[in-house]
Amino acid sequence: MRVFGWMRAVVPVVVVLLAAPLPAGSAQATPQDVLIFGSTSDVETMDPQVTVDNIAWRAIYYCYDRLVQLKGSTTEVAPQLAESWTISPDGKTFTFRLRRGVKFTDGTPLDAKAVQFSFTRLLKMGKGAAGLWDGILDASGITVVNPTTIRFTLKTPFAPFLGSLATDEASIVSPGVMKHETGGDLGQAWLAGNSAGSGPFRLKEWRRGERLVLERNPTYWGRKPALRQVIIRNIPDPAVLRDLLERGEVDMGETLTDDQLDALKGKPGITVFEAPSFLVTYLYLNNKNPYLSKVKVRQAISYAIDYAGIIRGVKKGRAVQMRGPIPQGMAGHDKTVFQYTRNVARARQLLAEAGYPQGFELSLLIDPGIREWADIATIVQANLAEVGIKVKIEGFARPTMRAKLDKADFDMATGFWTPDYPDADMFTWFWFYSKNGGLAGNRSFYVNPQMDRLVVAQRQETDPAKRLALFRQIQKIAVEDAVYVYLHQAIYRIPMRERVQGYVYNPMLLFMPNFNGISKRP
Amino acid sequence: MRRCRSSPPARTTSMAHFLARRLLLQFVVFAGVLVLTFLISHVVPGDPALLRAGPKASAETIAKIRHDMGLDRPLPTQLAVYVRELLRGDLGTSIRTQRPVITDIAEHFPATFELTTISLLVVVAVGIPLGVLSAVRKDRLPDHLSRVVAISGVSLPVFWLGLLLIYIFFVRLGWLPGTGRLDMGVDPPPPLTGLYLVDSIAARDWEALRSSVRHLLLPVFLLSYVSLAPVVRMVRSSMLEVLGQDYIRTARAKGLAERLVVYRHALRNALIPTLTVIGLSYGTLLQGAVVTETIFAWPGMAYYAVGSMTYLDYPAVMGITLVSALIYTTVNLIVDLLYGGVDPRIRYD
Amino acid sequence: MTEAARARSARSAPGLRLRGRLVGRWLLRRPLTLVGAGIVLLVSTTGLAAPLLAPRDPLAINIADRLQPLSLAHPLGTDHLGRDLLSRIIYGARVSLGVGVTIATLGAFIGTVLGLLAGYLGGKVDEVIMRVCDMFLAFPALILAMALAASLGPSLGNTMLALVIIWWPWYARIMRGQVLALRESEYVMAARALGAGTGRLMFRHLLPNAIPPIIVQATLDIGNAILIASSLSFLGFGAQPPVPEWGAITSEGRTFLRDYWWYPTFPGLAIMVTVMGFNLMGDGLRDLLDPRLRRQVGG
Repeated sequence: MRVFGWMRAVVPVVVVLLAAPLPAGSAQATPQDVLIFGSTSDVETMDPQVTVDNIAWRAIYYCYDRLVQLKGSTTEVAPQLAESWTISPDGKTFTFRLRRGVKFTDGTPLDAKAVQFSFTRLLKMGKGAAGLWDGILDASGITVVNPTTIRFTLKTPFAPFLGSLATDEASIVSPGVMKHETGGDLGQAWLAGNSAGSGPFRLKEWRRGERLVLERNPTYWGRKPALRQVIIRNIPDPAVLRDLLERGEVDMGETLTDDQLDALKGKPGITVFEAPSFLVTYLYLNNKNPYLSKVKVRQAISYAIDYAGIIRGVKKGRAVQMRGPIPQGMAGHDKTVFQYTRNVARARQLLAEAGYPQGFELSLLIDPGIREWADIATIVQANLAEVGIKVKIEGFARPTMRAKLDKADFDMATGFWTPDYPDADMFTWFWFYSKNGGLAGNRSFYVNPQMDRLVVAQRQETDPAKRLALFRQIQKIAVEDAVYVYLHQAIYRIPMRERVQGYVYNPMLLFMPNFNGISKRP
Repeated sequence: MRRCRSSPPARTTSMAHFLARRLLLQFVVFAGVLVLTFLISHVVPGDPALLRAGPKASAETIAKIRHDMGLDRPLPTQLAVYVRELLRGDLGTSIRTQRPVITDIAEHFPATFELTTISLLVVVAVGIPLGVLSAVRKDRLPDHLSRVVAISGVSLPVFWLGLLLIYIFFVRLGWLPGTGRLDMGVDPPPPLTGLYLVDSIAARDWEALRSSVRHLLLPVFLLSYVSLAPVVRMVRSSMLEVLGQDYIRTARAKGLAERLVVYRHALRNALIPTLTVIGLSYGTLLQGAVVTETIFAWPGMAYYAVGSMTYLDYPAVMGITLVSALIYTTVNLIVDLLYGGVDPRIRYD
Repeated sequence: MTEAARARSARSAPGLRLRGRLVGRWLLRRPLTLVGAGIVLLVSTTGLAAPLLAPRDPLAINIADRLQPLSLAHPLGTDHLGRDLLSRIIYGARVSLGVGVTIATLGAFIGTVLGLLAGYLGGKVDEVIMRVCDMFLAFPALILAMALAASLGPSLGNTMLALVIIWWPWYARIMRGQVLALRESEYVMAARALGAGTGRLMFRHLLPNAIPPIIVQATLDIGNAILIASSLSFLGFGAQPPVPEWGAITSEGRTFLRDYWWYPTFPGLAIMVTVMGFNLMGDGLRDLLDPRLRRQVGG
């Protein structure tokens, strides 16, 4: 009996459609002035004054300009919209002279008023993006001196202020967004899906979950980018992304696992860029927990962990073990400070001295969505079991995990940290100042008056040599007290086709390739 | 047993009564779903404000965001506000995307609709013949084979088969694309319906059409395969029942060709219960779409849902749950009505 | 199934009185049902005897041995932390079966009790219970489970809780249908006439007679529950590391498929075979209880 008669009609149509004019489907090279960037995570919102997500920054950063920029691959600050600036002797007043004749892509002139609008909007909305200037700057501190001069008066001296103005959060947004305001939202609903900057690119099209297209800004005041378009394709499966890179359908992309990058390396037409980064991975040890409040217990844990095993098993060797809180390459890093290595006997002895020869039980909080954390947790669990500490891994969705971190409702937890501005302040004041307990940065809830004095002093110290001495002291205590378990500092890796030229890596702009400087060989 | 008879005179009133009752129930159920979803998404240890606030936010920033999001108000007030906005057609603003949830859903819906509708067509086109074959050749090889096909479909972990399909057809053989709706270099057709098949035909963009058909093949195969079983099973058992009836024997005795007997007489009657199952298959398909869309990076509602869940983006989570509950119950309602319409023996109790 | 369809099949199920010989003959004509039962037996044994069968500790990490191919030392290779995959899959049988049986049992228990109350007491109680049922049935199950798991924190326990919440209404409906049909039967009438109280009627007379279809449904559901729980684990809403749950292992192995095919392949295969076993067995049981087909078998 023929029961599939309908196939006679349908199958040929599908076959014709598939076989029809074949433009060699797979081996198709991408156009020379279009960069196809594959991303395993999707952008959430395009509003630079809302988001604090590196993946969103990647799409946003080159749609906007800022008062200052980071020079090339360095952490040095150079002029961008501001041609020059002066800083008052007390370090509290910054006066910027603006470049003339710059316009936003919507035609609005970019003058001191626009800069004032932009920062006022940022501070008024008070979203995460405003967090950098919490307690340092408020709207009343921003004055328009004349159309090309703007002045910032800080509430307290803040050495890294200039550097903070090069971050994505400091992007200058056009006052034109107010034309799209609904219900007093300062144009948030609109800007979430559009761009309103003066940068080398602007947002052309965004189909969420599929692709986001940046196009060259035809009226850009600076050097025009070589690329006509940057298409950021959403490819959540790293295995698929790797294959598309290999076939040349994607020019550049991230994030692949280290295993995949190793497999990709050396394939014809592929380059894998590698450089040290300031992305550190560490464990929070909640000092409010009765066991973890004891220095010897924290030291025992620091001795029990197999740092090398984690770097080998989780990072495939693409990481460097940290010594103390300040990573290598950051001014202030002390390469002589003591470094913990695995020593089970010593760990057991310390636990016994602390009064727990039989061990005890602790929980380890992770966001299982981050694969690296799940693996680290698994290894830590096995390591600590050997010294008698029973670890229970608790996974929670990120918002829940954050709430628990903030409320000190955990024993141990995994964490990442990247500096927002290029200064060791990000790894000391944030991490150890007792008033920063919780999400703000002191996630171990560590309280030590001596440490408090030191981390505040370094912030206000203007003599670089004296500041270095302070950082040395801080690192020594941080390691002796084993405030955190300092795991490793990642090596940043990004794969691209060999055709891609002009890529410049800046450790402060992690996951944000310089689309404005990249070009493609024919 | 299940032949179409002419309706008795009292039918219209009972039908109207049934309809009114069903709609009322629909409303009650929907209200329940609303409250339940609200509770699930609000009585949680997580705090969405913290996510919005970013990694290094101070307590004041967090408090302000919490206030802006209305999270500092008592729960009943929050619910009342939600219902009030809902009645105005507003599902709130997504925490993750900062846009109205309704806009997000509207943008993601066409992709899901395209995927599930085509899969449903395939389920019908393959499931009914398989069921017939199974019944006509009962307990013989075709029957066993079709059972294996159907049962293996419901037994397969969708995520696993999806991974294997991508591995085989994309990575190894390179015959079909891996994920997404279009090839890397292909521009989407101008948005009209959001269904790329329709839009690309409307725009006479044959490259986009070809690309989107190619991208549909694997996910549609996966989704329809795992949703096949209930239809096959229902067609088979209904056919078996009908084939045992007197009038079929009569038809056979009259010397009608077997093909005619099966299709003209038996299948037509066996299709009535199948209708129910097909309607419900749509629910199964939406379910299967959650994993299928995740594996194939298909930017539909389920893809949006999974992203929102991991973010505890509860306005989005609530919106998605409500909309899918609405679709699901409406399909059921329609099926029940159709079913009652063709089978007078069904009492609406 | 719709209410109508469910009730119909439920009402027709109770009088299961097939002689053993008939069942034997019927089974022989359905080799697939036998295969299913065989698989279920095999997997259950594996799960129960996991500590005896597994060659290694499923949690023992050995970074030096990561991603080893199939060998005598590791018959199914090792994962990215050097754990023995065969051992993890064997222990996984224990986890998955535990999950499946727990969900089906709890769901059936809650559903049976509520269905019994609804069917027997009728009136307002019936109305309330059935509307609550409708409400849960209106939810897309996976979405509800995901929302619950995301809110409460992903874990195997919360997955089971979410799935039980989704599952019980099906049983409540079957049970209610059964009770409605039985309530008017002669022997219940007789018992009532003899002065049996409500409790006695419900638990001594109605319950035992209404239970067979519940058991069949529960058997079928074990497979389903395993499947959904593993999907949730795969999506990250279920079992947490280092629990050797099959869906979670597949998810961990996902990015390794290309270079280390064995890693995600075997745990997925384990899910498929197990669920298929339950489905084949359940499908056969369902036909056995379907009077329309029984007539044909017997006739």
